[in-house]
Amino acid sequence: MKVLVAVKRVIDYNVKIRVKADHTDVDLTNVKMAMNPFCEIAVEEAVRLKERGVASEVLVATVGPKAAQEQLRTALALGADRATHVQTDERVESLAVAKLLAKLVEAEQPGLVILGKQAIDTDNNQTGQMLAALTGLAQGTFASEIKVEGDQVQVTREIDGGLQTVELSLPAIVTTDLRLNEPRYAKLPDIMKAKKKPLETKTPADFGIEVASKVSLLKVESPAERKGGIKVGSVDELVDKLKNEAKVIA
Amino acid sequence: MSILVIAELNNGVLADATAHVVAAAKEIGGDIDVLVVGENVSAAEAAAKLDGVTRVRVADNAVYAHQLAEPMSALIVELADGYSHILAAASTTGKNVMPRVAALKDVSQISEILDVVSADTFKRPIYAGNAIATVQSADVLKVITVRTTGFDAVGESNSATVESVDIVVNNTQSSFIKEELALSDRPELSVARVVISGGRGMGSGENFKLLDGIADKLGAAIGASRAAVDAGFVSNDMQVGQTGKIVAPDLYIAVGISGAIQHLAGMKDAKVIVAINQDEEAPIFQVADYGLVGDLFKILPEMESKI
Amino acid sequence: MIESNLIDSKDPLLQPFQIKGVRFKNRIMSTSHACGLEEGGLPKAGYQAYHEEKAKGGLALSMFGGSSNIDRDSPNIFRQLNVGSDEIIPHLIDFSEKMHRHGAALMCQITHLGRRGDPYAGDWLTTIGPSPVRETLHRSIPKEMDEHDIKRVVEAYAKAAVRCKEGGLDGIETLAAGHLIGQFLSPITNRRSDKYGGSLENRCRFAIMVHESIRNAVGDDFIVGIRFSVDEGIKGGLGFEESLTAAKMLHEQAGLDFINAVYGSMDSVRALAEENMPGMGTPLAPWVKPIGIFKKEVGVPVFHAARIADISSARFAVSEGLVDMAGMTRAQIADPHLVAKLKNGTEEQIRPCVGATHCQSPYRPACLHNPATGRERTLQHSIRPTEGAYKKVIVIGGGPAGLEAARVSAERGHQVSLYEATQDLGGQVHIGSTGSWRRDLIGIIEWRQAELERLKVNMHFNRFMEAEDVLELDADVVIVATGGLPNIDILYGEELCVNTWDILNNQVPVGKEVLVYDGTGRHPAPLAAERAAAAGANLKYVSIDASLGEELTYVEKMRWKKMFIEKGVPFTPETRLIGVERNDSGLVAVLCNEITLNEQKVFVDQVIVEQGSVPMDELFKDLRKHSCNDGVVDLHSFAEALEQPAYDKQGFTLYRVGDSVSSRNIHTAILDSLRLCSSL
Repeated sequence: MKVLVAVKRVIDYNVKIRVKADHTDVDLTNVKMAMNPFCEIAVEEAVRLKERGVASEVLVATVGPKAAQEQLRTALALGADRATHVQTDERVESLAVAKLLAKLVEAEQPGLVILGKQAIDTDNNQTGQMLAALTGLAQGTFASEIKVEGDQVQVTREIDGGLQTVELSLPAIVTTDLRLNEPRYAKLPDIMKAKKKPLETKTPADFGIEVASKVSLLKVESPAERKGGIKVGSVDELVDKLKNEAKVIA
Repeated sequence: MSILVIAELNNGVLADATAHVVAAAKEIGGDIDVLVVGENVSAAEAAAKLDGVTRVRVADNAVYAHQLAEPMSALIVELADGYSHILAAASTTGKNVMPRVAALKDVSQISEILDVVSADTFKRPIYAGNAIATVQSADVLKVITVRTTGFDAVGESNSATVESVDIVVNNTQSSFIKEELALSDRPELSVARVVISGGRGMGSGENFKLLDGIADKLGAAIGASRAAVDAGFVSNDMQVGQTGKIVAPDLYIAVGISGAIQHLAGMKDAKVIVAINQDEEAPIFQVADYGLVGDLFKILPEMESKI
Repeated sequence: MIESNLIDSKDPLLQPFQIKGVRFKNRIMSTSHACGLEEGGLPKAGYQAYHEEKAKGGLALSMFGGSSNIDRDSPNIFRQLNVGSDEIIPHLIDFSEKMHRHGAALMCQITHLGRRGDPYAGDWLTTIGPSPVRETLHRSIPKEMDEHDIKRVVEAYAKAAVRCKEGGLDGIETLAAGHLIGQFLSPITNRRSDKYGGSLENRCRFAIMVHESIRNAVGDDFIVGIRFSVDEGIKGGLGFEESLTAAKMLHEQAGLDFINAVYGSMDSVRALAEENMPGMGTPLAPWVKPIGIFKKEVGVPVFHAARIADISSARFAVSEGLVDMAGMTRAQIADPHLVAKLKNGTEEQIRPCVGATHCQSPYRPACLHNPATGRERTLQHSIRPTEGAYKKVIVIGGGPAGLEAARVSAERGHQVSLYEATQDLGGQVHIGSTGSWRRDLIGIIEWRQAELERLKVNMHFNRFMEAEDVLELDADVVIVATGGLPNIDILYGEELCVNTWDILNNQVPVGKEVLVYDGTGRHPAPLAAERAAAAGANLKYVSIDASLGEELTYVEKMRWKKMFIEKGVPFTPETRLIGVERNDSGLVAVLCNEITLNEQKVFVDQVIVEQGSVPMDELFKDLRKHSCNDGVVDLHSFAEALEQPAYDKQGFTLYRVGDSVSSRNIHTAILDSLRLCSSL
């Protein structure tokens, strides 16, 4: 069966972000970008399914600006076969992405769609679930294990307090959690080979989708400033500060 | 305005989170209904006690057992008319179900709000909480998940009405196989929300046991400085620092660690840093938010008992 | 994030220390080593420039002249100075003036090698020692010294010390461990039955005579100490208790101004590699505890080096009272300005010692990733900004060569952008440092990455650049640092083989019956073998060379040898891999012994080949015709690190560095870029 993987270009997870002085957004100028870590896990899982003979083809897609093609090229270097770039410079929210991906699902009819559970910039954790709703398919979110058996897939999910296993009928949507696998790295020889793999570019208009969102970003702020280093006099005082001032423990 | 709060359940019993979500609903303002969904659930009574709740609606049926996303979202969509807001806790259940609801109603979702500015404007964390976004929604229906630590729980002096919901949906797409409670594994160091690390000051590998109790209570991972690894106290997969793991937890507690540059490179992005060391000139105090100078062998047991 | 107020009188490393009339302005020193720059046994301009750089950098005490020879039958066999002749005095005067001008104290190490010498070197005189016991490392079987020899040597020590004093030095140290004094002290090397052998008191006699003689000759003000092992660490050798007693005896009777404490013995590669100067992937400051005890018991100031590779280890050792002066010898070979950076609050900019031990190799004192060390007269430690126009410089490739080119160009003031094809910086260093004991190697990349961030160099990732991409950028200078790809060319069957990168990158799973073919004597092959052994493979290791790790430093070689022995990996030397065929059950590797020319077939399921790399030079070749210099590097200017010639033609200047030129190593990759860009 065909597997579709959707990936997102985000800030590299090692980068320390800064909020712009005018508070309109986070400052992304000259910042190192990368494939969203959960998306890397998604690509890895799809490629492993292909290596095991479960998937016949891996198709990777992304919605984003021209530079997002770098992430598609990386996915191709990691083992995906074909890439589709839905190009837009607009800020695209999860619902619009899900709508675009739903069109792709309709056109490509994959047996399984794998996405990262959330992007580390917006931290929404919505796209996979929304895609499942729009396509009327079952969803297995926060997967730590995926087992395809015939026309069903068993997904073990990381939930609060433990692990839950569900069985879904294919085609289905799965979103990845951290423990699903450890992704490989795209190495130079594969990057060179990937240059020859097909990458097609479309726009949201080609799919008849409006990407404008009803949610607007009013401002972005830094979290409360660190209250400067202080020395506490006792364990009691420390625990109190951590609970009531810093609010990092219950 | 009329708000539907999806109750957070724990094996059919009302979870504490619900009271925090109701608090968020109160800040938005309007009538608040709580929806309890599951099989053989007993949460309705407790939900009815939550202050500010007008009505508790209960959908109790085998198809809703384990609150699978497909039937649960279908149910909520059936009930959505008439509500201006649907809220759930940003738990794995809330995160699993609510986006499906939003997409079925062709509206956006606002995930993990920390603060209600007004009925249509909310604050939420982005970039792993390193920035806070204020967003405004023009959607007719606002689908929202709530970070419970952002709102103080409401009290329990109410007695709202309880009614049953007779809607039963079909589910041929998904089925529950099994569930396992979490093993008391420590979280993985690189992604733990809380990390407590020992340094050379711990004196020996044996002494690292002193960190266990605190780690257990805080759900923390245990790390170490390179000096502790080099001294043979612990294995190198626990090393935090330049040639070890880079961590960015909400809370980093450095015990008996002097604060070598290479170590700081591995943890300086922690939101809150605590340092415990007997040398008040140790460089670690330069980066710590809270520093406690003293004998770690006395401080650790005391801390364990007082957390 | 570290605030400057840390760097004030509170830092234990920045407290002064005094021995007699000599004030050390802080606790950081460099211990003696035969740095490889002597000329005819003399410390001339290059030698002095190397040491002076550290004085400029702010260290308090520089000890130089590792194993400087006091007499003719202690020959120059590893680039030692000759303190046995007055010829050295004017050079010492020059040297001490330079160092004192920067506020650094200067001391020399003087010795007689005894059996550690070589009877077939220098004046072809027999080596001498307390007893005729062979030294493993340097091979000689010495003559048993008689009273004349002893008297002569004792006087030679005194005369050498006087020369140092006349040369303006602040003091000297003699050498016990492994050298003649230590050979008398150790029961392994001293089998005498006269008054110089037998009891500990007798075995100390020679040391006491030497030190009394020195003291009588130089007077009380001149500082005299000894490099002394606190524990030989071998069966039958001088243990901790005896070493302590000996040291106390020596101090009581002859007065020691300091002890430069070491751990272990000296006469084998293992001892040097594991005890004296441990390398990468070993614990930091491993001996400070026993040395601290020694210090307390003997009650004299203690100097100590041995893997005090970073500031925090040094600070720990000093603040805990375990040592008085921290020997950051290799750390200052990596960064001679480390004290200055500590002082001005930029500790995080210190170029790290990663423990590669390149500075202990025949290429010493060159640091693996600081090629300016030892080349102070042509290369700069602090890059001077250009006085010409600022240029737009594009660097393609984020391995060591590319990173250095970007760093140096940015320090010159140019506008630099770097393009890397993969997600991460590091190139082959990234591959060679993952997993294994060689993790610290990545420090070479991380330091440069931090510097590039500080210098605001634009770095682009996941950008596989082709000619059109480069031309679009409209640069003034294009530096290609695209490295290479593994070369697995064998006569036939290379398509059946995997390369070491495949294994180290986990792209190919390890087989069950594995043959590793080492065609370079570098790290990749043993690294792949280590990985294969860890995966449980049944491993055979075949090398074209006579021994394992021919191109590596002795410390690294020893580490690999030890691992191979412990893991039981069979090593087949001087054998070439001819080709590989497939048969019904797997692969057949055809080998040929280079000595006998006999062929042999080995049956395996995986052949891992290491033969260095082939340059990735397509981009360079495509760009040549667009450049004004046809990509040509002028060799003379390059070798002297002078400005490359300008050209009348239109277009950017194009250069190539590192493995994209030819398969070499990290040091040359960085040296290429430093030489090319220092005068850009």
